[in-house]
Amino acid sequence: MESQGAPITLAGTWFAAGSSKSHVATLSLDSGVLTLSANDAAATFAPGDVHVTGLDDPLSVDFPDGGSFVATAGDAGARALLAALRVGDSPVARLEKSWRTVIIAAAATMALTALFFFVILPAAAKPAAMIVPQKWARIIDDQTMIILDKAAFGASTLEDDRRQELEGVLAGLVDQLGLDADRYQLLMRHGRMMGPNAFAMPGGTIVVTDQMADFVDNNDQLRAVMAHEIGHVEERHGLQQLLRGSTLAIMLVMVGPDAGTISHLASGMPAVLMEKGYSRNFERAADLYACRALTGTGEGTEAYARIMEKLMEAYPEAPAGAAWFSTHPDSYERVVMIRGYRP
Amino acid sequence: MDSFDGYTPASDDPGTDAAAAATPPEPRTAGFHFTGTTDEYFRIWIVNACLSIVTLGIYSAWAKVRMTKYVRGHTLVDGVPFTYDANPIAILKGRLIAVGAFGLWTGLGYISPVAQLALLVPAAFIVPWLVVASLRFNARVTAYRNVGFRFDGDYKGALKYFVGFMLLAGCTGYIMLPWAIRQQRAWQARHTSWGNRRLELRALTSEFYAAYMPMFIAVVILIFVMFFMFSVAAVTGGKGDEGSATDTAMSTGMIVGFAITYIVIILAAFWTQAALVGTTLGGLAVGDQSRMRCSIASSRYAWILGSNALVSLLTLGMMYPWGEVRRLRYLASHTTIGGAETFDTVVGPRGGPASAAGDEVADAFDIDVGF
Repeated sequence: MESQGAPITLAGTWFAAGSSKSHVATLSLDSGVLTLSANDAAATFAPGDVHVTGLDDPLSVDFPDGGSFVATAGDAGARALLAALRVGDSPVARLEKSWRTVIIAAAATMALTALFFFVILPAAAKPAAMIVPQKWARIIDDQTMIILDKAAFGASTLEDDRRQELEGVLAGLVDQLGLDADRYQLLMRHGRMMGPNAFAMPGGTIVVTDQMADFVDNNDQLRAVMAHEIGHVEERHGLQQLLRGSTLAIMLVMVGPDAGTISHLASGMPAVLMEKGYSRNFERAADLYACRALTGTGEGTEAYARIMEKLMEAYPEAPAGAAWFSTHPDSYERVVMIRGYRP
Repeated sequence: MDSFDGYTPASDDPGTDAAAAATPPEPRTAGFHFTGTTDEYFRIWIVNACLSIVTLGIYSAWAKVRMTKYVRGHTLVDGVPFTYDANPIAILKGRLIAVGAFGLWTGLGYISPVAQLALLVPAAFIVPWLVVASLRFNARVTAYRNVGFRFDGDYKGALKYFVGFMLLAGCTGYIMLPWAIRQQRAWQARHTSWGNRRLELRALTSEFYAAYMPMFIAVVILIFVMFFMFSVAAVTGGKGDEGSATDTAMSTGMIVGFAITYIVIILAAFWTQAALVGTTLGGLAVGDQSRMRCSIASSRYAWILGSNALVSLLTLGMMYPWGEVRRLRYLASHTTIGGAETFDTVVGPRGGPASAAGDEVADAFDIDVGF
């Protein structure tokens, strides 16, 4: 390695191999030779034989015999020496030094993060969700139900014939829409604090609460609610959400601020916020599916609009978790969309 | 190439052993200083974060080395910096293990929560191994004054202190947690050495209980709030019509109540974390000669932690480097170590990837999983 120009001399401290004892020392570079001087003794090294550990100030240089030289902090010679040895010139170090590349990196980081969250992840989750076998998805349903039955639901208190009626509504709808009847199963539960509610699970399990069965004016409204839930299942919204959530969590482990730290795994707050945004889009997609389905069977969207309005009137504040549309934003907007739907 | 092998220090050097024996040096306390700047740290962080994203996380191991090197290299004691010289491959390995384990864990949680719980049993036996590997790695790649750190705790110890004592603490409703944490940290300290000097945690169990006080108080508040909420719900539940004004007011009241409790718990967690840092750092001794002192105010340090997290969140992480530099500056400027006059007398090999010690076995199992 060639180094031209005036000799560079750095003041600092030298430590012998295996010892913390400090010796006042100087390190100089002249005509491509490094000279270390301490206590009236001196030794010379080829720049290729030393290992520079500090990329910036304070600079430290390790020697092949295990000794180490630490430059005095703030010595201007450190940067000159690094430049002469071309050590600080690694491509990454160069990027870090220029404000222009730093600004580009900041913009790229934000753009790529946004691209990943809003474009790549949703686009990739859809085909991935489509190929998850029905059997696996049903396992997820069953396991989730075990927990929900313990934590949130009570046993259904509906009469047997009412239950059969509801099953008939779902079976009829699935048949009319030409869907796979094996994919769907209806479960009735007492919703307790949840009130009138219905939801779809990834594997095609549709849960309707007793309160919902009592709340509707007629079975057409129930059909509308089920059409919405079928929309979630057919478009694999639940599975997409699971795949997105897990990928986000794993990405946070890999590139988060303190990546790889197990104790920080729980700090998935941004992922949770993202999920909220996603679920809004899913609700709109399920609305559209239901409108299309109900128009296709010839009954129209009026019953659907009516049950949405009825829920809105009963729960004007929509307390969290208390109503079917609680995670569904802009309920009024949705009613307008449903009523105005034209195929 | 000339070498310094035949070199002997000149006898007229004021710091030599002969001179030291004749007149013992004045006892001296040295301060910690963090000389990193927000500007530099931000630039390093953003460039490395960008490269990590572009490489789908692979570069994050190199980024971690770069960032840690910057922090340790700018942490000075008595004017001399720490050095950090880690092999990024080891960190990449640790990271892949963490991602694999975490992926398996979440995936299993969807398919079978029961199997997920069952997985806790083997995890309890694997975690201590990871703890030991990680502590050993981190000590080995860190040096001060050309003398390396070393961690020689074993699997059995980690199993006892990280799993056994934690289970014990859990069984007592976490009343014994401060004691268990002290035991854990004391074990970590006494198996860590800087050259021929062994660390020792001299902080008392009572100091750890004091540190956990804010957390205990917050939990008591939480239990009280929950109890109150559920009693109200039990009394009024079923009477009011669904969707009635009382129902809505109750739900709103519950949400507000839980939100306030949640904030109280977060504040208490920061406070406890701050007090633990002060107690642990200030309670360390490095050999018999050096005792560390830490004079951070828990309230101030908790404020720094809390406001950093909030600012980071609000700026989508962009202010994270600012917060870190602020935190490290405060922490360093309130930490001192005694017996600085004896810093010249420590002997021991230096570890790191360039180690001549030839511990290939240790190298093969090098992983770094943060704890």
